[in-house]
Amino acid sequence: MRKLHDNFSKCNRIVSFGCSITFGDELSDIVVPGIDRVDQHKPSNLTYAALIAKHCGKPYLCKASSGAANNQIERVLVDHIRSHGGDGVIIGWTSITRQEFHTKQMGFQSILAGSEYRAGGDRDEIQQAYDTILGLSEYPEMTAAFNRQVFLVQSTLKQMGIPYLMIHTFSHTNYTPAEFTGLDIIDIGKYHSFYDWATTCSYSKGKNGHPLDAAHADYAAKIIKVYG
Amino acid sequence: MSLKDKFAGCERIVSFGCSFTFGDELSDIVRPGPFHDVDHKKPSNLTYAALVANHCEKPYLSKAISGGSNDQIVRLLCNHIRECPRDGIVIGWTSTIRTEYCGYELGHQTFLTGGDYRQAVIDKPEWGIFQKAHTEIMLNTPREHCLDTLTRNIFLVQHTLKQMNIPFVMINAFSDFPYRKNDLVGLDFHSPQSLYEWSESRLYAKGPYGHPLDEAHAKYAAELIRVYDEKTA
Repeated sequence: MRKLHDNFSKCNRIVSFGCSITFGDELSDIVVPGIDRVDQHKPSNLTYAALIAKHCGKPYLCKASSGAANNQIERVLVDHIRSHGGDGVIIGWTSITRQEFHTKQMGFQSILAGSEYRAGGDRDEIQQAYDTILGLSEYPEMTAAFNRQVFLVQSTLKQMGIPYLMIHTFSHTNYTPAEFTGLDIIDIGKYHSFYDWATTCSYSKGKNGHPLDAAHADYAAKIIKVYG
Repeated sequence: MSLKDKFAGCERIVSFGCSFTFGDELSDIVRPGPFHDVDHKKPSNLTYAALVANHCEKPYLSKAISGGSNDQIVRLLCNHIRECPRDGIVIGWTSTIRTEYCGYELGHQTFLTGGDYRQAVIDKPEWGIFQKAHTEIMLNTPREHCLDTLTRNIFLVQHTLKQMNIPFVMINAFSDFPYRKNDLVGLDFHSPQSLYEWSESRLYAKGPYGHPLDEAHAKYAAELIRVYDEKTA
């Protein structure tokens, strides 16, 4: 139980990066009673990441956002570590079929393949083009590109002396080609991702499919145990 | 530490980049005739990167590809340094409006905004769909965002090379990136100007396709070595 605590012992804070699972969608401390929605300006303090920060006795800052793509996670992370020294980092990598774009009219937009969401303007044009590209793209290469992204982020964090912890939150990020080893993504047993682990262990989920409080608490405990 | 000392422990010097680093239109690979066609399987040994390797007395391998994009550079570089961590690296970053895609059963292909790639489309119609989608995305993307993305990529690559103790030299082959001087803080660029802009400002000859020719590469390599050695003396 000491090792994870030691890893982050010299940090001022622990800062998390990720998607809705790391933000804490549908967790009890941020869900709005009666309408099952969350306040997207107020991240949860009951996520696996918040609980690990608590275990380490460190202040916690969440920079995850619902619907985030991996390139958005990378963008927010790199901008953060370039301007803030002394923070430890927790990353919950997400689905490889999401991609963040920056549109002239709407700014940053994370787009999920095949999304029914139609916002209008240039976002829809990019959504259409992205769906076309994904429909023709080689899936193993998308996974390989994700692994390269994790490799670069991990090496950068090591080089800068920034303590980190990385997990997968969704299952379609779990295909790691044999040639790409040495990524420090924590794998709890055979489950590969938090979502898969919670599903296999039959933890309850919210209406939008996010694992709820008990899953986060037990997953944090598992990570602390595995890490130690 | 001089540039030569920096690469002293390397087995080879390997370059990554686009046509400028490959050596399009340079005299050792250009085919005779007015069109300056080159054999794209045979990189030039007269590029700035090859001349840096020559100066450092190291064997040289070019992994640059004509028409290459920055994400292609990152892909090839990441794969290479994991397999050959004892090689030194020269990177010539390229235009930010190119993107590489990997089509289902088609392999990798880089697209330039608005490019037509007619021959590729004839051979493989799916590439035409990629080209159209890429152009659609880029037309709706602010130029600033492309430059920000490149900045972050360079930041990650630079730290990764340092983490792996791999000596490297980075330049810009051509783009407006070098003019965003604030972004260069903390990035180890070894030339204040891109090869293309440096060459243009000194009126060196270019080929029919716009690539600086032998003399520009030779002078740029000499300048790169001089500036590096002076800074680190």
